[in-house]
Parts: sequence; C-alpha cells; structure tokens
Amino acid sequence: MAMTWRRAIPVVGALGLIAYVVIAGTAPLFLSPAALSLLFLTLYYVCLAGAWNFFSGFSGYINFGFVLFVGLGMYGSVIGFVDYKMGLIPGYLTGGLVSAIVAAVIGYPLLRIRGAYFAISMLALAEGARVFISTKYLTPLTRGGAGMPVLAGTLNQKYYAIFLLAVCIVLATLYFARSYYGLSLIAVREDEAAASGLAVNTTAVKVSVFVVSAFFAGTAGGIQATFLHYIEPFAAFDIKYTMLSIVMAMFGGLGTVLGAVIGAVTLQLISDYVWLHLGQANITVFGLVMVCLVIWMPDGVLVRLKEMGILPKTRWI
Amino acid sequence: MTTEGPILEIHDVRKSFGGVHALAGCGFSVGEGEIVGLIGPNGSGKTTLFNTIVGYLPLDGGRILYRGEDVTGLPPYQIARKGIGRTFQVTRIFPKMTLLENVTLPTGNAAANERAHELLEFVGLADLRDEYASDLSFGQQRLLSIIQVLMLDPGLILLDEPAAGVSPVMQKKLLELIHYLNEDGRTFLIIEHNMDVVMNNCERVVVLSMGEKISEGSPDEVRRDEAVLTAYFGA
Repeated sequence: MAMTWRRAIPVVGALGLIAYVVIAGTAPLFLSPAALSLLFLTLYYVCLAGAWNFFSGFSGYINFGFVLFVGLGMYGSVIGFVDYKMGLIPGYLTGGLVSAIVAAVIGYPLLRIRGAYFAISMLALAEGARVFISTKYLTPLTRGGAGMPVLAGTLNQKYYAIFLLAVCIVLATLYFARSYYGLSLIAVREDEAAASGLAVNTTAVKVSVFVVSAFFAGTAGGIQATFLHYIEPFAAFDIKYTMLSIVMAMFGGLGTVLGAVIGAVTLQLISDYVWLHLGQANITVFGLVMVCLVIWMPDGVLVRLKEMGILPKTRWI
Repeated sequence: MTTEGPILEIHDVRKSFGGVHALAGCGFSVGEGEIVGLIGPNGSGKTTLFNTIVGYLPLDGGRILYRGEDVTGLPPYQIARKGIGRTFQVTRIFPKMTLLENVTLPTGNAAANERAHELLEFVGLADLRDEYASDLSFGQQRLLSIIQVLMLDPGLILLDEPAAGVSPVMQKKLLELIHYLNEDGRTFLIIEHNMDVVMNNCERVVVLSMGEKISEGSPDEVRRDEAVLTAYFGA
C-alpha cells in the first residue's frame, strides 16, 4: 500500500504538469478574458520564481532585491514602447536587456559578499532604484512619480508572450541544471572555497548566471507592464514581487527545474482560494503554510521528495 | 620514485594575521615524485602554508613556484588547473550533490563520466554514485575528496591530515591509494600528526615551528634532530 502511494506521486505529478501545460498553451482558444487574466498572473509568477531560482536557488545567494530587475525591465520596455515606438517583442527584450546590463555592472562587486550582506545590499539597491527613478535626474526619461501609461499588444499576444517566456525559462533551467555551469553554481552553494580549489572559476559562473536571471526577470517585468497598462515607481519596484518569487521558488524546490512551476501554481491557487473564502484572513493562512514549509520542507517539495527517494536524485526534475 | 627537478619551490614565504606571524620566512622544495611529510606542533603554520600554495590566502612576501613557474598570487581555480590539488583537514565535499557530480565537477565537463566512473569503481564507491555525498561515512567522504582532486589530473597533491579520524582499515586503504598514485607519478606533500604514518610512508620530512622550517631530512634524521625535539616538547 505504502509502495503504491509512493509510486503514485511522480505519476500524478507528471500528469498534472502535462495537463497544466496543455491547458495553459491553448487557454486563449476557450477561456474568457477574465479567466485568461488569472492564468496570465500564474504564468507571470512562474517566470519570476523561475528567474529567481535560476540564480539564487542554485547558488544559495539569496537575492532580496530581485524586484530591481523586474522594475528596471518594466521601465526599459515601457520607455521602448512609448518613446521609441518599439514592436512588442523588441520592447520586451529591451526590458530584459536593461536588467541584464545593470546586473552585469553590480554583479561583479556585489557577488563577492555572501549571506546576509548580499541580501541586504540587494534589498538596498532595489529600494534605491525605486527612489532614484522618481528623482529629477531621471524624470525626463521615467516621468517620475506621475508614472507612464502604456498601450501595447492584445491580451492574447501578451498571454502568449508570458507563456513562451515561462516555457523558455523552464527549458533554460533544464539545460542549465545538467550543464557544467549549473553544477558549478550548486558547488558554490555547497562550499564556494572548495569549488574554487577544484578549478571552478566561481566569479565568472556567479556573475554570468546572475545576468541571465536578471534578463529573464526584466523580460517578465516588461510583459507584466503591458498587462497592467500603467507603471509608476511603487508598482514597478513593489517588494511583493521579490517576496512571492522567493516563497514560490522555495516552496517548489530550490535549485530544481520544476520547483518554480509547482511553487507558483500551487501558491497562486491557494492564495486565490483563501482570498475568496477568508478575505483578509488569507495572510494568516499563508503564514501558516510558510511555517509548515520551513519546518518540514525547508528546501521545498521537490528536494524533499528526492531526499525521501520518491523522486530520483537527478537534475532533470 | 627517484627525485628529478623540484615540482614545488617555496621561497621565503611570509603571512601574518594581525600580530601573529603564521609564516615567518619559510622555504623548502619538493622533488618530482616524492612523498614529503610536513609536520610541526599545532599552530606552526602547516595549514596556512597549504592555503597560500593553493591561492586561498594572499602572501605578504615570498614566492611559490610550481614546475618552475611562478604561481604566487594566482586565483585558486587557476592554480588547480595548473595541477595542484589539495584536500582539507575537515573533509569538504559537496553534501547535496551526488557522488558522480562531486567527482565530475573538477573536469569542467558535467558529462565527462568515464574517468569519474573508473575512479569511483577504484575506491569502491561506484554503487553509491547517484546518492548524495552527505549520505557517506566520514572515511568514505575522505576517499571521495581524494578522487575529486585526482580529476584535476594533478602533478602535486597536498593532503591535510588524511589519516586523522578514520578507522585503521580505512587508514590502510588511504595509504595504499597514496602509494599507488605515487607509483603513477604523482607527488605528495602531506600534513600528518600520526608519526607512525609519517615515518613509514614519507621519504622526506619537513618540520615547521612558529612559521619557520626548523628541520628537514629523512624520517630518521628528523627524529634525532634536537631542534625538533625542542619544538615539540620544549627545552
């Protein structure tokens, strides 16, 4: 009995995932715009949690200023659309590129510091960016606190953009997790000095993966900005994006391929359900979920299942 | 093995931590193909010397040459790529990576499995290759850390107390492995507190005290050296 139960988990999980991908991939054909918007949000969080996990889940450098890259991506894209009349895809990629460039500049000095110091520095940079965006120096570009409205693309186009990005991030993670770079970054998480003694160029690995993670976050931010039709500093650099990305990635499984998908979908569903039935009490329920998570599965569902031997200890999952 | 040219030359290296002179002008060389023991009382600078050789600690003064090439100040990953591998006093494997991943990491190619499989087979860990390294016993982790270093194809291997804290059976296995690899052309510099291990396995011994070399020679010569006795037991 116990044996069949253990075997059922991977099968049910795989079927659930396939069903989700099929439904998400064909949703615009049969869902109402309201339902499609809900699904859009889930996919947006798959992208964010996936992008966060891509660097922090593998490296153990917990990025508490992740929203920096989301917000910069939003501004990069929106400025591209509004001021430079860019097409949809170039505009989104511009957002990603802006974040990637900033990540490359700050990554080199910042990724030398570890643990709480890295987390606090990133947090400070994200807050700083939010304030800087609204100062008079950048107002000509960003319109300061007044914000920027944006009209680009149809709902279906934006939906497919976020769906494609989510698929790209998951496939990139799959490739990365099994590559030398992925292995090196996991080794950095486990013991950075030992890794460098075994010929791993830790700085190069950290900085380059940090840049890719920022690119994904910035592109997702750009798509979200067109979905919201309007951005201003507080909305673009909302710390909620950082927190949810971390919680979702941690719930699903740090340093795994599918953890971000499982975390984003599950927590988004729980959050919607609880909000619907308990209103303001949803925060309490969410908090309880977090407490249970930290006690029983500190590294997330997938990592726990691998440790229990229910899933193989492979980098494919 | 016979001694050819020096594989490692240490010239007058200095390293201080605040007012503590961990290395106070220490120098010696290691010949190609030797097994050299590095001994000395606690705090004499042995591990600090290892840390400077592999680039973990910047030197305050002096030079380190590997096969005639100055490697002073290079980052650790470059020194590793040149062929110096080291293990740690407290074994540092990667706990949440599988054994196979632990072993393939140093090759720079996640898919380079053949040699990794051979080495895992060689030390009797092949059946556990898909398990996490955290599941291994202490002695097995020690073996794993040595074959990790071998994946660098190192000319020089620095071992920090390889025999400490493992069972006599595992100790014997480790020493056999060291001699086998030495026959294969690898040079060893070994920090060890167990004098039987040093006396029976090293061709030459270097003794450090207070960050300086105080004696050097065959195990017998060193054992009879007054300076060594003074350093260990006081005047």
